[in-house]
Amino acid sequence: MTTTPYIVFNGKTYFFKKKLGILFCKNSVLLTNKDVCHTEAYKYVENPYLLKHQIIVNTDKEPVFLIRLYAHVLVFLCKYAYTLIWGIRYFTIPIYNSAGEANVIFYKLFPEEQQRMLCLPRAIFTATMSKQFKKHGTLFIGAFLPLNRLHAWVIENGMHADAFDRQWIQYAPILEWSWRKKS
Amino acid sequence: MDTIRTYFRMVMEKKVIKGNCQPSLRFFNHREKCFQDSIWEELEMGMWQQYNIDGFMVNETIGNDHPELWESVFPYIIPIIPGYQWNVNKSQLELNLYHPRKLDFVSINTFLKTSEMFFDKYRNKKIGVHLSGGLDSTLIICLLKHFNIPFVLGGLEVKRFEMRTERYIQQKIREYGETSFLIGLEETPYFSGLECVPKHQVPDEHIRGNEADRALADAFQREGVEVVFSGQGGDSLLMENEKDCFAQYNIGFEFQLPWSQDHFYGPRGIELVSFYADERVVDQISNLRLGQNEDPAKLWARHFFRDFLPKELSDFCYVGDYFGLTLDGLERAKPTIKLLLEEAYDLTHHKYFSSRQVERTLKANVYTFEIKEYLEFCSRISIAVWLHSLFRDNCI
Repeated sequence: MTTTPYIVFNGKTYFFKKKLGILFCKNSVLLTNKDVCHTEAYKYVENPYLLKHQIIVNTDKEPVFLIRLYAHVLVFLCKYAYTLIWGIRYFTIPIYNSAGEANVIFYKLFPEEQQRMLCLPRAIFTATMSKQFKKHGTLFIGAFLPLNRLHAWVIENGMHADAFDRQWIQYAPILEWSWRKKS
Repeated sequence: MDTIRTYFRMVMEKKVIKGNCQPSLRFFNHREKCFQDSIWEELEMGMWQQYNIDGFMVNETIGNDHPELWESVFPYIIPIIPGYQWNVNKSQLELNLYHPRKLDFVSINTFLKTSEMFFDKYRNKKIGVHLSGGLDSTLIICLLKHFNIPFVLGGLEVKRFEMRTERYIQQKIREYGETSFLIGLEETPYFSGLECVPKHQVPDEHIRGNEADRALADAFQREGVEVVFSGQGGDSLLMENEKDCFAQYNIGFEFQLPWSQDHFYGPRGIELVSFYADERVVDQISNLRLGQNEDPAKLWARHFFRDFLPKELSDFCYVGDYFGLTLDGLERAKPTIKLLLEEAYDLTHHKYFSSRQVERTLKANVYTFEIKEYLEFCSRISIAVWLHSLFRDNCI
């Protein structure tokens, strides 16, 4: 299920075109019959204090060549062929026990100074490689208005997957994706 | 020729109206070789025309840590702002740093005892506390509650999405106070009321929160509060550290709020005090943190004080980002900023305020500003606001 809630901010309406990866803005408040619906995990974004305490997963697993290749393909696609990302998200390889573990693996693959710009490939990597994501995970893309900055993160089982991510709370969700159907 | 005559007529007609003394400021007079508390007389006599605007902008880029490199902004007067001192022997400005003392033994109990001694100084006064929703001020509130000291809570509430965690804590903690109030920051956004910033003797960066400061001070005054505790300085004390030795702190500049005290709280008979600026508190926390690394999320403090703090602050380290809010305020204030910059040009004919510069600045999309551009823009605004304030009556 994918929802793309819009945000009304300073008299303008912001919405996200997921296939283009672009935040659009209309200079008016959208009058629409479209309900703003959210995934179940949205409650954790609305009130981050409901989340379970973040932990840094300890793993001694080292990413094998194919995992490295997959991560680099994701980075490439996010940068140069964004539209294809929306197909690849169904390409799941659930080999890690949790999104937290998959997240730690991604941090091993790229230097720390690059990680800030890799939030989307990291979130997709985490979502597609976690065994629990299908049942318990949601991927969010959020916007920090009015700066028009975007960020992506994963919440799984009531826990934020990335213990190093402290900026996610600035971002209001404009896309929520999970495998679960709307309840 | 007519333009020159017009310029001089305008300048000659402009008369500086003396303002209130700013108790936190001092000045060194090179000519008289003495310190003085005010330069209003010199400004009235026209010294504002000799203000070194280029030097001020250079000093802003040098930053606060190397005052010895700063250029002079007045011909023979050196402003000495809080956190700095004038070295008469070396004839230069220096940082006035506090070096924490090594203590033999520190624990939560010694910290509590120190805190209690701090609060005891104000027991016979009606106490108010800034309620920001962050860790620093909440810790002060929880300590007061621990000691059963009554207080009033007051703060600014921001209804933006990124501030929801602060709002949550504000709503939870406000019950701790005898009374509490929250003023919507949307009513007093950043950079609003720039035309009414109190008269001041040198340009100051703290003009940003002018209306919010005024509103808070007014509200505390209405509650009859006599002393307000702020969490200023908590960021420096609880985050920074040198691993194998004590960090040194510029208490006057980073831990205190002299602008707010001089212009808003002091005139209303309120003393604005930073808990973290107390040297004994600095000693305690420095000794407790000795040997630790820098701690941007203040994890040590959240754990150490977990028995006093609400669970949300001890278990989580969320911090709302004020930059979006700040840039919003800047964007909204552009019409006023335009008038102030134009006035600054009329007064100084300086290139920073030329019509071309002003147009370019106002057309800029502030939301794409990096921090350097933002600071440069703010520096220009602070000069224009200062000049404007010199020639009008004070607004308190």
